[in-house]
Amino acid sequence: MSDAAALDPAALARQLASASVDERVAAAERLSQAGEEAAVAAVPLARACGDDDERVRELAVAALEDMGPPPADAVGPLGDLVSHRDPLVAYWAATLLGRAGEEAAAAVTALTACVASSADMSVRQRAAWALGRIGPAATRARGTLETARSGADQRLARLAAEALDAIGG
Amino acid sequence: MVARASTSSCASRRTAARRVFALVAAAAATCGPAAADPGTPRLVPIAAAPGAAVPTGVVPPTAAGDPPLVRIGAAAVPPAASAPRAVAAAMPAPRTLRALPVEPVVPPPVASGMMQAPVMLRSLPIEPVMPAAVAARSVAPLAAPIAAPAPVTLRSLPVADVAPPRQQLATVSLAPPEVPRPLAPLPTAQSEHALPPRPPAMPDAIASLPPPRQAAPLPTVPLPPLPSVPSVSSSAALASPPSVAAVPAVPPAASPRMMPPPAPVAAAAAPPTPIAPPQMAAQPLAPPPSLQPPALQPPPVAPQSPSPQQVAGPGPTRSADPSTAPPEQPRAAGPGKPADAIVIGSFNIQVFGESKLAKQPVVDVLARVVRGFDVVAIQEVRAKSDNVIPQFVAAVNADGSRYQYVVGPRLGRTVSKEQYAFIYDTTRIEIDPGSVGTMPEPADRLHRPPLHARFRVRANPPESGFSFWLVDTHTDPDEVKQEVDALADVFVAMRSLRPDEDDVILLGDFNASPAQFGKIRSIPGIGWAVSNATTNTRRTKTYDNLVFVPAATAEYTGRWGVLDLQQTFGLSLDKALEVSDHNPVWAAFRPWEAPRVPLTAQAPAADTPAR
Repeated sequence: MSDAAALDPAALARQLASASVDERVAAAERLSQAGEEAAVAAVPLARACGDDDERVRELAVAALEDMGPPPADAVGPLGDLVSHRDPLVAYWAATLLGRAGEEAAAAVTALTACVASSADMSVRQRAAWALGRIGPAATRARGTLETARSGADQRLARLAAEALDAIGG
Repeated sequence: MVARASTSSCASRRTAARRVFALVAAAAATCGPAAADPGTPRLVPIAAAPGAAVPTGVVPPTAAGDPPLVRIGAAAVPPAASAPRAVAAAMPAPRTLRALPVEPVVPPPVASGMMQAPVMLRSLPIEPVMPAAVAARSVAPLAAPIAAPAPVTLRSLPVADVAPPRQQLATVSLAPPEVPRPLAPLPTAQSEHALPPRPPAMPDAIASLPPPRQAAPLPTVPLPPLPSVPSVSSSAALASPPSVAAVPAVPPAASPRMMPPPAPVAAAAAPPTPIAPPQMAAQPLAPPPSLQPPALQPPPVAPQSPSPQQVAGPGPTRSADPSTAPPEQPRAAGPGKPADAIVIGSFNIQVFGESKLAKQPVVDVLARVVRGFDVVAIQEVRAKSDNVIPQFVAAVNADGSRYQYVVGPRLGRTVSKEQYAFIYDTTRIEIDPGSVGTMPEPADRLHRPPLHARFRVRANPPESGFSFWLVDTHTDPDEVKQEVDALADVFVAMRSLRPDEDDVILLGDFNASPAQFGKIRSIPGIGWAVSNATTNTRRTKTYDNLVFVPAATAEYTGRWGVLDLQQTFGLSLDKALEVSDHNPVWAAFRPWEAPRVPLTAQAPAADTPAR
């Protein structure tokens, strides 16, 4: 890893797509140590949660846990990732959208679909949570959330109820 | 070490469970307005439901199918009948484990004035434990029920028994603690190996400490700076450090404050730790010499005016009568630790897995950190392999230390999971092996339910040693408010779990400063060690802490700290971040069990200003 990459989260984000596993591990590790500065790499890090290498995945998760909200221009790509076939990618995409709050209003449709039909319960739960964080801008998710509120999964039901409270109306 | 497993009757478990439930409900009702919030799920032990099993113990299997394991030493232990009912249906029937045969090794005669050796257990090869659940199901019936009243006391294992991990003698815990099952004095047959009696006088070191009544409120006193920091002093040094095995043992003559060094590794059957000579015991609580492990470094940001909650001393009903002091000094300290206090730490070792373990400079720092603590709660063990903590503890013990560990099950809502661990110095601390488990939370508010275990300072008589629950936690940063409130319920439940144990220390990475402790703050008399100091490596957040009720845990000395990795080891920020994005935090406690204070006598904290 070059010195420039070591200091430049954007360069590290590009490095996450390297064909070299070692390069990807190095990038993910450096980003896991970057704190909130890693936010510029939000989308590549979410994608890296589906990396073939476990080290990359775990380090990407570590970076995502500490990075805070993503930049506004990441909302679109993250909205696409909530339907990703890898549940860990979808989970973190939903998480980042929730952190973005009302700025993620453009992703309400994707999150709503995720609550309704994701095969992974942790993804459905996190999507419901994210809709609550978006707040009133997620009004059109009310029907799906009301269904989830009366569902069998206790945690999803609680998160849906909390989201409905946050959305209001 | 003896393997035990529970065969208690369902009836007795239900009785105990209902009792805990009643106690929890009563305690929760005293938690102020937050506790009365009808929208907030209460922590109700699963077993409170009719027909369910015992409370606490083991989390249910995860969606990914990981078995709920608790590990002590190298043993992977599946849950007994403690899983929630809904999950229990999907789980195999309670399993039984075979007690491993053990042979005591008679210790050699020891010189006068030295503690006699405890019974040392010879390392026995055991079958590989993976896949743990399958292996556990296939073993023979129990040889000894865990519910048997006889106390179980872990003994120090020779270092050779710790590495490689799969050759360790396993201590098996299947179930949460039966209620009550106090740690009791050793049976007569074993007591002959304990410390010889000592005149029932208060040790000089303790006499030099302010009596508990005078300690209210104690100022928070960061330990004075050490003469020098450990010799790893630059990032360059970190790049090519001495190996872990090369960490120098502190020569006994380096400082008059130092305790004798531990027995060499080769002398595993020798007494693990000699008694502190009287003149050493007379030393006041003091920082370790400069070459000793760095856990007692002062925090980089010394608190100026601690809050009442932060440093609240014993309650008004606390007796300061010296005659109540235990008659015998606990086992002497190893290098780097004060003889008259134990140091409990918490350390989030970010993504502690094979990659980090492969970095010898990082392992060197981590090992030196751990050696400064008597017991440390670890968060963020992330590895598919089960060998990370065993290999790390072997590295810790490479200098002759005698640490052991407990590792919890893999926890998390996704395929990315974490484990908690406790690592403790067996020369000073023993664990109640039946006490290890995780706290199920019916409302599923906790991403990673805390790992709990009960410890006791080794002392003579044994019951005079400070005993305490440690509850290891790492909250989800995206659901801090709900999780902190759930942890308040966990704390109350843990305090009610055993009528003979009033010391509960909730510690870990809260992802919240004390100002964000929510319902925790409504627990009567609650306090926390770390305040007005940052705990992350970047020095921007106060996320790590130790939370307890000071009036109940009167053993708290008022001393705490944040071990700044950069400052202590002379690292650059980048190098420190390679170790972790968190600094370890710690607090010091007197090693003798203080008189118990009734819950009703503990001052409520709801109206106490806090910062």
